[in-house]
Amino acid sequence: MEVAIETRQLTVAYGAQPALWNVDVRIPLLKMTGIVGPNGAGKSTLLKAILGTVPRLSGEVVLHRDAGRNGTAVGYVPQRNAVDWDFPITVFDLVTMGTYGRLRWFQRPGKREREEAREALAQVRMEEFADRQIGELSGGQQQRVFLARALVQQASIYLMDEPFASVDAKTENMLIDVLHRLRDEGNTIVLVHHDLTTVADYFDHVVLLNRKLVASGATATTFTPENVEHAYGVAGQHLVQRHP
Amino acid sequence: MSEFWSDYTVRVVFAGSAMVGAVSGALGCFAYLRRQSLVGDVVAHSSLLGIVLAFWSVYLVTGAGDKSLYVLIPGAVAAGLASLLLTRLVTRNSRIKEDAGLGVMLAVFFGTGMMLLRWLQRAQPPVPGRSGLDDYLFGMAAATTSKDLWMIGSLGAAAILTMLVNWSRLKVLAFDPEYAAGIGLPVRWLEVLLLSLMVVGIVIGLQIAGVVLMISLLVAPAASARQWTSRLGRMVTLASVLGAACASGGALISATSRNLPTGPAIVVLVTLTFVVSILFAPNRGLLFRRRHLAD
Amino acid sequence: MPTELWTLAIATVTSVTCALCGSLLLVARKSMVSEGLSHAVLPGLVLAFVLVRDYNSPWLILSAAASGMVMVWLTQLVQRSGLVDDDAGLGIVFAGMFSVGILLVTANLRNTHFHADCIVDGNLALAPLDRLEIGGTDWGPRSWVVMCVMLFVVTTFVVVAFKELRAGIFDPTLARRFGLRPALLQFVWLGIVSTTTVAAFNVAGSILIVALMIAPPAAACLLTDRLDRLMVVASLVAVAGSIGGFQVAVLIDVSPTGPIASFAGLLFLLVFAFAPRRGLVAKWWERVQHRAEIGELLVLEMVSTGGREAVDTIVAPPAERVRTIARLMAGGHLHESNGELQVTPAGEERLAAALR
Repeated sequence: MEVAIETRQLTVAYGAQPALWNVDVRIPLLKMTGIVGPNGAGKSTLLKAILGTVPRLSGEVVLHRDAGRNGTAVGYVPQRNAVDWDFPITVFDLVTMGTYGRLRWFQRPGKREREEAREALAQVRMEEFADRQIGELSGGQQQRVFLARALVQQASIYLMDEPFASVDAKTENMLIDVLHRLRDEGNTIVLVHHDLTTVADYFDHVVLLNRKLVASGATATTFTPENVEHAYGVAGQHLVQRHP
Repeated sequence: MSEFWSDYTVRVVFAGSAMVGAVSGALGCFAYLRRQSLVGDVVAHSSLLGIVLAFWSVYLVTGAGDKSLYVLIPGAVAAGLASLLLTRLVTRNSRIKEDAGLGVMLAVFFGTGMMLLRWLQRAQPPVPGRSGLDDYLFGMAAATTSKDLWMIGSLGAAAILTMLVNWSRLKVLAFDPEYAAGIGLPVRWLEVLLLSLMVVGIVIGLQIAGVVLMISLLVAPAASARQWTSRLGRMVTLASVLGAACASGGALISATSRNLPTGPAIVVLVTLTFVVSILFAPNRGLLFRRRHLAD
Repeated sequence: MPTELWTLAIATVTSVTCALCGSLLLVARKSMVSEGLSHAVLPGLVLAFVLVRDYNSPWLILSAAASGMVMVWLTQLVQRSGLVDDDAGLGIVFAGMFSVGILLVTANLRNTHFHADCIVDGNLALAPLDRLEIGGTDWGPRSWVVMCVMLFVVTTFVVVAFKELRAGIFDPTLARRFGLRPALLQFVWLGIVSTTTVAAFNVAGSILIVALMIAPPAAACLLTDRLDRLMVVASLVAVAGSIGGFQVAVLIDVSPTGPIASFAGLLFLLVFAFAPRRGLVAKWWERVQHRAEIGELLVLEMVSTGGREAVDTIVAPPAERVRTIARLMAGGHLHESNGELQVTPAGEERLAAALR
């Protein structure tokens, strides 16, 4: 198994409260990995530690040597509630932001960047909304646009924080299709996910987290009742059951 | 009328306030979008302390009272930034919420500023040149000199240029700071830059709009412009134009009538602009919305 | 009683009244509304004066308080439209109303009481000279009487409606379910705050009102948790601010409003720095201890999973790691045998307890 992201003895704390505790995890290359665990398990913190936006107390994060060869190494889709939806920015502008990380100082997005933004919008089937202000979109459409912004980064690893939160089933299916296609085209996808009923369908690989690493490995062998119980407590079993 | 325009003072006042309005309007957009409108209010009030201290220390050193902006603006910037940083220190290290933290800094900086201002005005022997200092409360555009004009112009131009050069970065930062950090932008540095730009946008307007009402010249054009467009570039441009128009209009009204302070005249104009905008702007305006619902 | 003592008495009763109102604003997270109110009452005050031409007419207070409520209403209107950021809405509305007031003053009342300076500074120093006489009896300075009445009204209101206020401010939804009407209640208490602002405006001016409504309650909330104690502590801080500021004012011979405002603010900063548990120093000490605690746990964890080499993955500087290890060994959580570090049973227990 080739490894896209490896954390070694990674610890992050907020005050005296450990958020991630001595986590050794290996996320495989060219696979779709789900990070699951109860609230406060450190799932978002793990993404931020990989991005390097929270201070580590111990350990290190190693990215695959090929990551970042074409663009930024890691594309990031934050939780949707973090932004101001009344901000005067169009869908197209927002997607173009994905190129800012590689622009030099003084440089403005040019023809090439705009072309890439348009392609990314086409991939998530949002071309016709390019000139809309972002507040005028539905929740699912907003999530698609954020995905497009990550695509424009031309990363080879994509980190997404609960992209399916408050998104309708149709959009969720559409997003999953795009993500699977992305994976098949040679990218690594990492999602923080909270709906245990869909874990088995969506992910090749799963990381169960509860501040410490509970289990990590191929979904079929790792996403077992014992491990879920270990991460969530006894109640975890009910979460896996699909509601009719 | 031609006689009026050929008057040197009138031209200086007109040019100065137009520049101030344009710069404050443009930079105010970022304050508005980052929900820091009241921060602007507190920075403006706090500058009074810096203005008085700068005036006084120059007097102590040179023995002459110098009210030119070259002296007063650095003081205003320092006091404005200090109140900002103290507010952050308080809100980040205690349970005090931002609005209470801002209010406290208002009390400390503006209260102390007023105290020193009054003391300076009564001090014996009299400090030369102290009489116009309280014009900074409500603004007195007529006091602008051509030397001040250069100061306003060069600072304003520098601020606008900096904003344009860093446009894309400031845009991501204002919209989504977490994402900005994620794509490796120097977020902390950009934050400081944005705050400094806001402080500059405020202090260059103090002479014309006054510390008490500066908030309106900073945010009302931005809030108005936001109603007419959903693009940041257009919003900043429009806010800048609205700011310039209202500021120069207000300054002229005040300059042509006796003793009418400039700040209130300008603020009445920007407030009217704001009211018109939230009522009549297409798509968003309240009247439009009513009709929309009725259809 | 000498004039100066009267001034101090008026300042004190004003500051306590403002501090009580401010405590409500603080817990409702509406502190900056006082900045708005202290400016927005001006047009109402001036309009009423233009109409009745009498400083002492009760119409002035009514009209100005109404003007404050108009500001509250306009701000809520703008906020509810969803078109404008809340803070900006407040700022634009109060600045607009204040400007109208100033323009009215400069247009109509140039040589009156409403000098621009008084609007900011107030008239505290002269307040004792304006006596209230009813039926030939001298009841003391007018503003003293007015502020005492306000203090009585505010205190009574707070005592009578304490339960409703606390519920209505902290949890409006719950309050509504209990049949309390939080919207109505908020209207009433903001009305009282607005009236207090007006009553204090003449003596305190706009700076002092904001300072007294925000700084003492903010200081108090670093010292206590409960709303009733918060109000008491805020009042005490306000009194201390008045006395201290007044002394400074006498010393340098200026109007006392500026010094009292700045003194109240400085008292807050003192409390902020040194308050037990919540002050800056206490927080800093807490952070140091947290860092030490988590550092020790981390060393225990690393030693127990990977031995001494694993300790090197800790980001903290080597000297700090060495100190941490020494502390742990002294505390009996680590011991060394044959040059190898080992976690003792006590250490393992501590580690397990911390991560439970």
